[in-house]
This record gives sequence, structure tokens and C-alpha cells, in this order.
Amino acid sequence: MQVKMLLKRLLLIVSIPAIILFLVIVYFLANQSFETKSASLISNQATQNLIDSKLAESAQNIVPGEKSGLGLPVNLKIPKINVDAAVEYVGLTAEGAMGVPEGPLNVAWFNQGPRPGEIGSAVISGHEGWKDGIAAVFDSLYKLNKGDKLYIEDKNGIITTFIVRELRVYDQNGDAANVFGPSDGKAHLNLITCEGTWNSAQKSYSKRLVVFTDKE
Amino acid sequence: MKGFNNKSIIIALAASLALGLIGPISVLAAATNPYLGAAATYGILSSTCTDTSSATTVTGDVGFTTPPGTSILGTHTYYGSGAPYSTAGTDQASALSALAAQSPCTFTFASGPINLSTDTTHGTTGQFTPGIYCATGAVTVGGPLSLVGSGTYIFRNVGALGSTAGATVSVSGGASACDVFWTPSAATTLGANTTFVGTVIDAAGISVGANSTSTGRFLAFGGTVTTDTDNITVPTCSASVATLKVIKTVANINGANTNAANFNLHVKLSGTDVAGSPAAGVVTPGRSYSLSAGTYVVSEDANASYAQSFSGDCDAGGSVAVASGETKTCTITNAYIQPAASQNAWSGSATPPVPPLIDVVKVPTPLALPAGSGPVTYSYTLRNVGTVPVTNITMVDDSCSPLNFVSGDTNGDSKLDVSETWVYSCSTTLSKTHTNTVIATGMANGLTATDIANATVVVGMPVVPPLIHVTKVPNPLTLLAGGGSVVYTEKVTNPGTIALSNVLVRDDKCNPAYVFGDTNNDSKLDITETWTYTCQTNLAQTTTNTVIASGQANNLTARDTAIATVIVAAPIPKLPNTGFYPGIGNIFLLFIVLALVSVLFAVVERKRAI
Repeated sequence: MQVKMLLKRLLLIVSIPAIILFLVIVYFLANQSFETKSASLISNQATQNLIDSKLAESAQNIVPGEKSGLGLPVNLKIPKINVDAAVEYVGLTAEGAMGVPEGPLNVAWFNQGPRPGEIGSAVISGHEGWKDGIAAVFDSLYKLNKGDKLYIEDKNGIITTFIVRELRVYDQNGDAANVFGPSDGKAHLNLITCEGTWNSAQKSYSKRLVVFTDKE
Repeated sequence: MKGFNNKSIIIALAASLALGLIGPISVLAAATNPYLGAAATYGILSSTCTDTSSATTVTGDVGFTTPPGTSILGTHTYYGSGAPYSTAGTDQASALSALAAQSPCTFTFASGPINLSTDTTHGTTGQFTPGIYCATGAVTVGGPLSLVGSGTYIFRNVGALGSTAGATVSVSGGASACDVFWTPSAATTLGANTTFVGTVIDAAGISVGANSTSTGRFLAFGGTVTTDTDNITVPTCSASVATLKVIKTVANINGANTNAANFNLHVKLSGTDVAGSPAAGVVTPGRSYSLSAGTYVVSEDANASYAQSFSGDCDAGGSVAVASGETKTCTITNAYIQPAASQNAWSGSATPPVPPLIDVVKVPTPLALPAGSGPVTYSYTLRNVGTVPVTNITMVDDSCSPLNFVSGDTNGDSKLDVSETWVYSCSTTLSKTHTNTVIATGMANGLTATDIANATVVVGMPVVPPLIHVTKVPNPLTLLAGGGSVVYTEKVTNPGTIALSNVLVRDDKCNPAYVFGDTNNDSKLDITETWTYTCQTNLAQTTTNTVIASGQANNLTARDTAIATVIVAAPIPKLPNTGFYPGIGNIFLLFIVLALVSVLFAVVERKRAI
């Protein structure tokens, strides 16, 4: 009986902190998500103002006719869906797919293609959804519409503006020829994230959402 | 090409008429100053220095192992046999060799003794223009002798050199004591009261007559120099005796946007950067370096994304020899190499874009200005040797502007169509022998084509410089993903007026083999001939390669460059996997299970207790 009592108390000792910890974590996550969204909403107008001032600055920095003014991209802003993300640089995976950012909050530029603003199709990927329900940068990418603007800042502080042309959904193994090219002699920036249903076996969503944009 | 050759022939005839060269053509090379090294500061360099009676004044160094009885007056940094005496001796020998190696002679006197002041066979009596003058007997300055015009004068003879009492050598019209050299094989004996100019290199011995005045050097290392109340002044020659101009051009493809200033250039002598090196590259007018005579190597910090090639006066490895008074130009061209994995970025489909291909030829009129400075008109012929119209044409000449478009855009669409030949023209005035470079660029399908052409005009001598031209056409211009076989066809022609020997065709990524074209089998590229070379290679990725054709005539080398790009498509990347299962994670499940178990346990225990 004494052994049984001891086991009972031990279980209580373990389970009660577990319940408390669980409740604390749930509260923390809910609060963080709320705070993030609140901060984003508050900073939305401020972000737009900052972009406007930097755009004016960029216009002064760019030498007419000198395309070489474009440096490597460092930041992506999409005011409409509260995206303000640092840019990572990725190449191809061993499977021949474009790489993805390491974390949920950054985006990744395909560094074997043109830079955003150069002639051709620059491509940026970002996560949709993250482990344990954590929000990711392109969770709301689907909310973009034709005409929405997004801004890429390069390492020289030059901001290039792109305007959404269309959204298109591809199968996960679909032909990406139109995403990575061809070049029509103009500058494009295409954003990619996941969509569709989760396939546990493949650890992949069934679709890809691509937002095609044109340089303003 | 046929039309072009006809034009060449007309130019050749015009040039020949202008030069009065119908018939046997006198072939000469421009004389250049040798590198004097440590000997340059010596007014007297000898083993035995003898001052016959009263003191001689030398403004400059005096070298000897056996001193004169009467000390030499004047201002000297070095006096005697201390360093750099022996180095000066070595440099004296090197300079003599360099002078002896220059050929052919501008004029060779008839055998026997020659009096330069009275000779009528070489040209105006008592007057000489820059050049190499050769005699097989003794040479005397027997009175007034006038050297007229900027350039190097070399008087080379087998026998003694002398002057009569009171003889005078003078310089005018740009001639300088720095540029006059006397190299007799026997002793030199100048008469009393001679006014002399130039550097005498004569180890057989030099005797300067009493009360003579000389602006120059008496170099007789190993021999005896005898003076007698003379005045010798080493001329002040510019330390920067040669100019090397380095032009930097970059041929970008599509998104690549590196410019000339992004490349760090080096000019090195014996592995050490010269003054002003390293420095950022400059397209126009290039970056100039003032150098002593010598052999320099031009290079740049490596950039793996760009293929490098040299043209102009540099050889394929960037090496260039400059002599005193010379201006040489090297052009480093970098062509962007698209990284294999990124080709999809601009191909975007199974069929890659077709790259443009252009070809430029430059022909100067006249090819030579034997009487010295004068006007030259360059004619540029630009053709489309590819398969797609080319836009955004630019033509930049490193030393002539503006380039005026003359004709060729027959349909007025501002595109260089495959059937079109565009002609440009530019006029300038040249005062010395000069090789200049034109760089033509154009675009199609977001890709850039570049071609480079060089042309030399000889000034101050009746020398016809060679011209050469090469076109390079790959077949096919594009390959599907994975690559394949490409055959390059190089056609080499002679747009000049004289046949070329030692024709070489080098490609940085392929080995061209001669196929046919030497119709008279004389191993010379005649102006009517087109020599064809081919080269087959397998490409796995987009490749830009450069072919350089060279040929020689009249001791001058002509070079031309052709650049071609073959586009290889690469597999298109698969779409990225950007998703994570957004459900509740394992740790949460563990907590929930534990919570449920504990609640259940508590309920059961409570019931039991009841």
C-alpha cells in the first residue's frame, strides 16, 4: 500500500507541474501572437511612411542608366500583409529544388537567378505555417491582389518597388518554367509559398502558390 | 568578305601611292631607345680614364678603375669604381645588344667610309630623321650634321667613328640628345672643338678632342676614355620614358552588372607592382602608367565569373615590352560566364535564348605616315555574324572619337540585322606610331555580344604595318540542358596590304586546326586569302571563349580578337518546399497526455476514497 501511495504522489508531483506548464505555454503563445499582430497593425502606417521616405532617398542614389546600382537584396516589405522580413540567400537543394529560408520569419532569394530589379525573374520563397502552430512570413500571401505593392531593399539602401500582376497555384512538382523565366526583357519578382493539403508521407503540401509581380 | 577584300586592295593601292612605294617596298621597324639602366647617369664610363692636359668638366657620373692624372671636374654622384660602376658596365652591354638587335636598317650606306655631313645618298645632305642608319665602313661627322624630328636615332657602323675639328651635331624639331646613339665597332675619335650629341657605346675606346662640348655619354666600360679640356653633360631625360595604357572592358550578359571599376588591375615588373598599381579599371580612356623601359606583366584580381582575355600590345598572358619613348596599349576584356546552375533564370524553358554575334573590322587610312605627324581616318565595318538582329550597338575607340555612323542600317530599324553591314568612321591626328583598339558591343535576347579590333599606324617611317582579322562562329549557338557538341569555325583574313607570316590562331578553350585557305601554299596569309580553322568541343554549360589571331610582317605583329558565347540551358529548378505541418507538436501532446492521465487518476482515487 505504501508503494502505491508513493507512486500516486509521484504521479501527482509530475502531472501537476505539467498541467501548469502547458497552461503557461498556451497563454504565452496566444499572447505573443496577439502582440505580434497588434504591433504589425500599429506599425503598418509607420512602415509605409518609412518606405516612402526611403524610396525618395533611393531615387537620389540611383545613377540614371546605371543598372549596377543594385546590390544584394536584404529586406522585403509587403505592407498589405504585414511582411517585413530579412532576406536569406539560397541555391538549389540536392533534389534540384529551390531552397527555403531556415526560419519562419525570413524569406529566401534564389541567388542563382537575377537580383530583384534586374532583368529577368528574381524569385523569393517563404514559409507558410511552421512547427507547433507558429506563424510564418507568407501565411497571408494568398491575400495579395493584383495591384498590391511590395518593396525590396538592397544592401545599398536602394528600394525597388514591384506590383502584383497575378497569383497562380502550381502542383508541388509542377513545371516552374514561367516562375524562373523566361525573360521578356523586364524585371520581375516572383514570391513562392506552400498551399493545399499536407502530405505526411512526403512532408510537403500538395500545391505551391506563386505571386507574380512586375517592377514598377 | 569579298567586298571587304576589294576595299582592302583599294586601300592598299592608295597607301602605296601615298608612300611612293609602288614597286619594292622598303620594310623598316621603328627604332627605340634601349634601357640604359645604371649607365644612364654616367658621362664617362671606362676602365681607364685619361685627362690629357687640363681638367675636363663632366656634369654626370664618371666611372673608371684607373683614374685620370687630372681629376675630372663637375658634379658627380658617383666617381670611380664604386657601385653602381659594375652594374653600369653590365647595363652598357645590354643596351648595346638591344641597339644591335634592332632591324632592319632604315638606310644602309654604300660600303666604304661615310661622311655623314656630306652624304647625299640617304636623303637631305647634312640632315637625318629618326631611324637606324647602318654603314659597313668608318663613319665621320665631317662638318655640320643636323638631326631633325622626334624619335630614336641609331648610327651603327662596322669600323671607327670620328669627327673633324670643329664638326657640329645638332638636334631640332623634337630630336633629343636622349634619343641619339652611336655604336661603332672600332674606336671613336672626335676632333678638337667638336660639338657632339648622343650616347657613344664603344668599348674599343673613345677619345674626345680638345675643347669639345658634348651633350651625351661616352660609355667604354672595359676600355679607355680620353678627354682634353672638354665639357660633357649627361642629358636630363625623363625618368618616365615609356607609357603603358591599360584599357579595361567588361562584356556582361543579362543580369550581370560588374563594371570596369570593379576589377583591380596590376602592372608588375619582376613581380612587383609599379607606381600607381594596383588600381581600379577604366574603360575610356584607360589607365596610363609612366614606366621605364622594360617588360611588364598586366594582370587583375581574379573573378571566377568572368573569362579574361588580353588584346592590343599585350600577349595572351598579359606581358608587354615597352621601350623608351613608346606608348603601348593593352586591353583586358572580361566576358561574363553565366553560372551553369543559373542559366534557367534567363532561359526559363527548354529552349535557351539565342545569343548575338557581331564582328568588327578596323582599317586605318593611311597605314603609315612616313613624313611624321599627320591625319588618319579609321574605317570601322560592323557585321552581324549571328542569327538574330542585334540592338543597343555601341562602338568605343580607345583613342579616336567621335565615331560617326556612316551607313548600313538599310531598313532604319536601329537594329544590326543579319544582312546588314554598318560602317563608321573616325579621324584623328597621330604624331607617333600607335595601335588603337575599338570595342563593339550589342544585345539580343538579353545577352551581350562583344568584338574587339586593333590597328597600327606607323608614323615617321615608310613602314607598312600588318593587319589581321578573325571571325568566329559557333554551331550551334544554343544547346539544350545537359550540353553537347559545338563546332567553332574561325576565318582569318588579311585586311592590310602585305602578306602575313607566322599566322597563329589561339583559342582559350579549344584548339583550332587549320583546314584550308593558303591557296598558293606559301605559308603566308595573302590579302586575297581566307584561312579557315575549325575546332570541336563539348560544352556542358554556357561558355564564352576568345580566339586571338596574330600574324607578322615588317617585324610588326598584328592581332585580332573574336569572342563567342554558346548558351547551354540548364534544368529548371523545382518549386521549393516551404511548408511545415502546422498542427500541435509532440511536446504539447506529451503534456496533454500527462494532464489527462493525472486527472483520470485523481478521479479514480477520489471514487475509491468515497
